[in-house]
Amino acid sequence: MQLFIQRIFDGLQSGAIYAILALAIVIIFRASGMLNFAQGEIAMFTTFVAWNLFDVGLPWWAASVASLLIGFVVGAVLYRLLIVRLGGTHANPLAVVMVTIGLFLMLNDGAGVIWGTDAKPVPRVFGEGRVELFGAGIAVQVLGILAVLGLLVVAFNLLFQRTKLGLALRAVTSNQESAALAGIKVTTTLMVGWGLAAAIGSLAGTFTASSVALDKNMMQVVLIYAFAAATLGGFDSPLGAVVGGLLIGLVSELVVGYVDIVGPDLRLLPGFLLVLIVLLVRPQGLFGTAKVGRA
Amino acid sequence: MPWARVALWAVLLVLAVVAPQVLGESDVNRLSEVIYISVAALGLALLTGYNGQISLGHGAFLGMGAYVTMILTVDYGVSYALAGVLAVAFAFVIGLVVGLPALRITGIYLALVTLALATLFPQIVVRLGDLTGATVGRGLLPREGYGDWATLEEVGRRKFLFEAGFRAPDWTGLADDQWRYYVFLVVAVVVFLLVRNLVGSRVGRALVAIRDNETAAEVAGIHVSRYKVLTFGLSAAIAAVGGWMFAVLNNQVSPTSFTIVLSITLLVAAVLGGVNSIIGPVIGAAFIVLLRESIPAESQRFTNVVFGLALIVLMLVAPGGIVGLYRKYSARFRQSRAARSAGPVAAAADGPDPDLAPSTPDSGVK
Repeated sequence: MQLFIQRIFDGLQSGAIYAILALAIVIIFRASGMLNFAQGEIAMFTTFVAWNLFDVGLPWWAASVASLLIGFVVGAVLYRLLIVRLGGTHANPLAVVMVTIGLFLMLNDGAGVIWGTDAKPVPRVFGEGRVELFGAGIAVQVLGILAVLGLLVVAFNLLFQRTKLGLALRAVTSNQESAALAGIKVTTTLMVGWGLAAAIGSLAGTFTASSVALDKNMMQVVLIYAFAAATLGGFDSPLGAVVGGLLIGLVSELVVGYVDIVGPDLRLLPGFLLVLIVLLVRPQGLFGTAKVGRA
Repeated sequence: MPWARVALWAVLLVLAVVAPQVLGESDVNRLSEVIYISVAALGLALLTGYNGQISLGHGAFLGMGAYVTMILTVDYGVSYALAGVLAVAFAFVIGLVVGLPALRITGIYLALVTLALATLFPQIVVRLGDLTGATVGRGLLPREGYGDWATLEEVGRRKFLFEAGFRAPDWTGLADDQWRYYVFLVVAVVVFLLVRNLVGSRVGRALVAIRDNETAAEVAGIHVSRYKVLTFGLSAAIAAVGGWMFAVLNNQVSPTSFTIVLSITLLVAAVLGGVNSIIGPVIGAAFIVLLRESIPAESQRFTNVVFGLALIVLMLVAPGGIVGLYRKYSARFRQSRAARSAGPVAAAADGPDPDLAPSTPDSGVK
């Protein structure tokens, strides 16, 4: 029983990290209809910058917050310099995929060049404490990450539903031309959208680093899970990203823990099977809106 | 086919035939590498460029081809040729199975599902460790000695196979690496010709019609789902041809060779050259191998920085790849020549401006 609860919390912890990165993916997809394959690597990169700050003497939590801001700038600049040139929603999806993959390669190797390929140990964001919960010892870190995820969801909703910026973002998402005609600065709004996504993503980066270790390849698996989470939940639904992330974290942990044929070798399998089954039944994902269109 | 293109292919072919006579062994092996990458990338180009389905998982099919070849030759004593045929058939079937969900899952979603395939493949290989040698991988045929093969008879049989396999036959007077290269070249030429004919045929037009507008294609009487699944299978099979070459060339297979990086490399090869062209994959593959080789050993860690940068710049300048760039400028050149000969008035009426016209099917992929 104790092991079971332990596994549930482990699942929730990794699930929360997937959910955070999935949120970043969903923001960009909602705003510009693009998939950013470099999302994880941007997060990895800003986490390394945070590590530099930590190295100079900043506490890790402060460095994490700083990486959030750096992430925002990086995301916005990338959008302004690169993505905007691909032609907005009419962009050729293959070109978008290739450019973000190009970014992926550059950032991954670039980080290796700048910071080396050795994994760097990083302290836990929420300290080393443990609390007793349902008869199992749970790291405060897990609860902290879950709390941040909860906060993000609330902040996300407030931003999109209660602020002028959120309104502009929703308008741009629904129809770029009409939004532009209504006087919304589409490019600026999308810049903010990409910045927000990269900022949230860098949170996933610092959390991953402090759960495992800081390493230039640490975000690749997380990115794949996050994609799976976003697919499962529906690409245009923030709620779906969160539910999808937690679900995939839980399912992976429990299946790997209890089903011997899968075992740790096939870690990725249960999550993907779940996604595949859901996609076959509901191609738009659990909470996504089905696209109605004509050819 | 215009004479210029015939000439280009002829020059390329002559160069390809002469090259191993003047180059050293390691360079010949690099050329063999170009061949297997371009064959696999051609499979991907057929799927992505002509049929509009983006796959980030073709490294897995290449890997399947390599592993099936290895298992059949080493464990079952099958000849290289037969192992190749069976490996391709195997990948074809798996490709059909993967293509089935692709009917409901399209565009970027498909890119993600195939990405999952690419990341799962090495894990599955490790899980089937008894067959595949798990993380260490296995040698196709041992470079020296015959290790743990039990009976003398068995050793003799395999030794025979080894010598009958990719040892250059005496009558050719070629070194092993040259022989291997020429076999690859012949296989590749056959595959390229087959794909070229397929693309130019009724089937090819159906594929492009599906890419451009699925509903319209359906209305025109094209059996969309059948074509899409078949294309997926065929594309996987072609990638497995590359996998067979990989196994024969490297003489060993291990899961680290078939990670997501390989899938990305294949997609980059197809896209760099020009994803909706036949020669594009060759250009892309040559570019990749050349780039990899031209970066000195001490700055190998910069490889992907250069690679990524090249990819981004190319996508911004010419989303149709190198071939797309060529098509654009040759169209412009033809037009301005026509304009000069016909005078200014006729020129104005002479077709759309190449800048505005969708002359290159750059935006083809959905």
